[in-house]
Amino acid sequence: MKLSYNWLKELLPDLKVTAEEVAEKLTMHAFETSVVGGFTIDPAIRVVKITKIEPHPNADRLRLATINDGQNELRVVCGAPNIAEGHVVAYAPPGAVVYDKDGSRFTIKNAVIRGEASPGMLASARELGLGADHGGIFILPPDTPLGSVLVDHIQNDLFLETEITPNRAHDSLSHIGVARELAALYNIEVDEPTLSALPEPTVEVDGFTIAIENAADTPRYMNVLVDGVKTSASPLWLQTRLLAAGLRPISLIVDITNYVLLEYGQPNHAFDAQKLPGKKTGVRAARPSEKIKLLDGQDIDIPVGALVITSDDTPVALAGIMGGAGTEVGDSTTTLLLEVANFRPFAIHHTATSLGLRTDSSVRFAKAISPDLAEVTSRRLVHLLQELAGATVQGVMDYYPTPQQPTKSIFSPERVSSMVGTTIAPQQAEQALKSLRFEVDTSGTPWQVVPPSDRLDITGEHDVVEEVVRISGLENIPLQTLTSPEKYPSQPPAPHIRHQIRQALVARGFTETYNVSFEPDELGQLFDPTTPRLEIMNPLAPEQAHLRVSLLPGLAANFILNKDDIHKPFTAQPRALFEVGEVFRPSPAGATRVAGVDEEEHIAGMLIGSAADAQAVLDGLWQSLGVTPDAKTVLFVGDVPPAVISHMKYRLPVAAFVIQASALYQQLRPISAEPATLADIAGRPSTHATFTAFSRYPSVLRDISFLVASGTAATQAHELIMRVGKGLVVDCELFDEFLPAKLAGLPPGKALAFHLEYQALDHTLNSQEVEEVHNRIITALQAELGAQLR
Amino acid sequence: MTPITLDTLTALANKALAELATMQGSAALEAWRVQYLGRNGALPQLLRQVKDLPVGERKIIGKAGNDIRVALEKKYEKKQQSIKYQVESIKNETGSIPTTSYKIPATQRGHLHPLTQSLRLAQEIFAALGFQFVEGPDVDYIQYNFDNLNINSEHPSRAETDTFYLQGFPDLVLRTHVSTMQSRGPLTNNLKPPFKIFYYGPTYRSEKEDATHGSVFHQYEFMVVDEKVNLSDLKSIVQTFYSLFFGRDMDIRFRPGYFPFVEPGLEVDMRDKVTHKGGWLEMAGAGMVHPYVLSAINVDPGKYQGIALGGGLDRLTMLKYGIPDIRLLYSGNTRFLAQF
Repeated sequence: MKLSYNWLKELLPDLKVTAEEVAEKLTMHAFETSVVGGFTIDPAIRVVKITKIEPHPNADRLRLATINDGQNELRVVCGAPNIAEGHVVAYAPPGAVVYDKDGSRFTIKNAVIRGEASPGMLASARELGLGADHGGIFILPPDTPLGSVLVDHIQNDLFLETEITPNRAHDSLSHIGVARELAALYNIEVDEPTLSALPEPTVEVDGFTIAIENAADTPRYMNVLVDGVKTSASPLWLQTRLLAAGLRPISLIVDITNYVLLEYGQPNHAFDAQKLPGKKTGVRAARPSEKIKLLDGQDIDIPVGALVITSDDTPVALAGIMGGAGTEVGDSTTTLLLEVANFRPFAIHHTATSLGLRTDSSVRFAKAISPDLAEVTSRRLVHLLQELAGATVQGVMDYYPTPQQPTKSIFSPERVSSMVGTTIAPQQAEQALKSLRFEVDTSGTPWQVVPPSDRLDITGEHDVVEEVVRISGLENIPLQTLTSPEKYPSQPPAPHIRHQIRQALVARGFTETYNVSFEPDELGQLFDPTTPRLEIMNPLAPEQAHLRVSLLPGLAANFILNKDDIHKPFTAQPRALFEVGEVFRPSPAGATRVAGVDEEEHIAGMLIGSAADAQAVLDGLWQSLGVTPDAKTVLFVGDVPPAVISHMKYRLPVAAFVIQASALYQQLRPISAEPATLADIAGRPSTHATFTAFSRYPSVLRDISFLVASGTAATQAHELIMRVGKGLVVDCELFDEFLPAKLAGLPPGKALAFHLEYQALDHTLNSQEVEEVHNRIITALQAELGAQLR
Repeated sequence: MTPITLDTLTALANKALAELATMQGSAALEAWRVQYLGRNGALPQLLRQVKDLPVGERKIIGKAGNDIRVALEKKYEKKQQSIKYQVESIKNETGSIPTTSYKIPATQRGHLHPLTQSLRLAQEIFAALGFQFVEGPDVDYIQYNFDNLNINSEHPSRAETDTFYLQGFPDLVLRTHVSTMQSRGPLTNNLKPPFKIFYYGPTYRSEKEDATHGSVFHQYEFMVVDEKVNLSDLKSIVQTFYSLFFGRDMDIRFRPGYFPFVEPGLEVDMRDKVTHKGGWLEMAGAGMVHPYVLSAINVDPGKYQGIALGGGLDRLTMLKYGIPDIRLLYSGNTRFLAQF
């Protein structure tokens, strides 16, 4: 939720810390919070009135606005559609600094736009930094003094973004909620907003009544009828608060309802009472083929069962989500039927989700708020309507059949110490709870505590403990020095054996890969078209629709990815991969861990070579593990089927094996080696590989062979090639070294031959680039080692 | 002489490609090159006529001719490489000339995946702290994944937008966290307090993949239940773990967090001594085991209390090895795998 720092300070007159400190405090004790921006209005920006608007001679979308600051007149070019003669607006002269859309700032310059001079410009809310709204020029109230400095009317502000956790969405998705949290953390008081007294509720007000059909979904429904309202633009302070929170000011009445929502977290709605079809208000489930036009202009078919507010049985609002356009307040509105209600969270969540309508209202109802909140919100709403719009209250109706009961809880202060591992004094616990508005009765053992009614998350002692821990501070939890135990628990054999097998395969040149558990469908079908697959009901992508029945399709996919590298002549190239992982099959019957699913661990390898090579790997593995596996252990060993090879487009032979891991584990004894102690682990050198970015562009292979003096080591030449080719030579491998004395006609010396691989990190190399470096290497070999090309 | 047209060009290209496809041996390849691409080859001969064409055609046919020449040259280079490999493997079998082999040399070692290396170290550390390993399936009951963890049926994380479900198995999910083992671990291994367990494995979320989110990723988690285990123990264990894992003393801080199965719920941060960016890194979620969860494993929450902490093995691995994108871990790319 976005918060205005000024607003918090208004609610907390004793808050004397910076916005950064507020964010840090909230983060460490309540919700993750950061300062995300704010605005400083340039004092050069002044209030002006538009006296004349003319078309731009050279551009259809632009207009020329003559503006007056009470003394001088000038003319600027303006592209916004919403300006009219008589509007009072903010004028940024050349030299003034305003905001760009990414929050950066820029300086206004004297400009000529399509041939017309524009000394400065009129500002939108976004350009002033007030919020994201850039739909038009920010229109000021008509009584704002012309020529005055804008920053005298709008207080510069900072914005905070706070991530209210789901358990605190009941009480903290509002400025007052966060202010109360800060009041507890800084031990200061909230300056509660002014509320109006309301008359006693009656069952009927001026002919209006309430008849709730869906009581289970509507714990509370309040209506307040007010009349005599005047509509106008909202005062600047109200508009800037809404903008700060990410809302767009619309009109005084709508702005007040939104303001109270942001202030108290209680959604509410104002119907134009005269536009309502009737006087009997209801709440019921929508029937088939009901429709409504919503405030945002869209016509929707109401989902059957969705909660609707009706007037004489006609839907006039989607309960808890959005009002209807037919009863919208407008310029001629004088009488309002205010709705302040409480709905069952899942009912609102369900409808909002199915319609894809996420509103400030639906979010709060979906996360549950206290029905008690409706009354204080009504009083606040009425107060602002009286103050700002001249409203008079006609009466109140309040459907609240089962008022919320306080959730009493026991609390033993020593529970806190036992959870934290250090002593928290009972007085400290009492103080923390009282600061959070809990009623605390310390007279008995255990204590009796009652949370404020908006704290729906507090349901038992563990919740109360959390509150004390949070407020007293998690930073004071002591740290102990741990040592290894005298006696180690016995471990299951699988993790150790699995690791032993992994190491044995690595020792045989296999590199380990991890594939996701979804089957690459095409390869999967080529390997095994018959085994039934488990299907994901909601896959992210069509190629992730099935769980794998074998590790081989994944390994084959890896071989395809690495095809070019595997086919290179370098001997150090990884050409054998293995994976240890789970495979899945439907299992109609049988003793599986999860009924219906046979999930097995497999160990599979794939290599360049023949079936005999694959068998040799397994033979070596069994030998090193000291086991003669039974028939169930090896599920496959042999050549990869020709259909797969052809799909893989391989010119080299590929073989594979698959081991049933659990069958193997049963035949092996757990290893009884003494585990490492903490001191052993701490004593090891902590060096390890770090990732180096590699190129995704194709490489170019070149061979180079030359004669050097017989005393020259191949490593010297290798070092030279890598040094001179730095940046482009990514690999260099010796593939030939012999004394050519054995060959006739060559001078005495040594012949060396290398494979060189050229590749750039960021582009595909062209032959000229390669040629250039290759020649440089040859020149260096000649100069430094006296090499002669063969 | 054949006149140059789009048709004659195409016919020539098709003929050349057909011959190339069935060709064997380097001598034949050289003859092919001379015949089609050489100075007096068929294609250059045709292309020499381009300059005599009318201006309009010159542009179109000239470009087509050049494209074909580039394509044939590429094919030629490819073929040349493939023939070279064939030659080398034949030579290798005769053993007469030392050359490359596509079989893995006996001396060459492969590479353990970085996730395995991280997991192994984590296992050793937790074994040294007296933890017992437990394992469980990737596909598990909703009861273990949600219900027993105090995540009720109206909780948003149960929605299809976050969780993978299996067609025809309404009571199963691909586990969204290894916290399934908070229930399954003690129940299927018949553990009674006091116990200390460590578990890990693949987990699944139906969310869009990016550099830090995969639909499949790995988690580690531990849980301790006894009469007095507390947040000080939790902090000490995680501080020891990260310090040994990263090979230097690490600072840990707790912040309030929310997970339905712990209370108090905590976010665990580690001071960044790893990426050199400074500040704090979010590492794990943790807390005191919720009494509801203890009751679900038949442990009396009035007598016993528990701690639990879970985090991403991928994230630990990425931080330690400086891996910028989680998708590299599951890419199967040997240029990545061979680095570790």
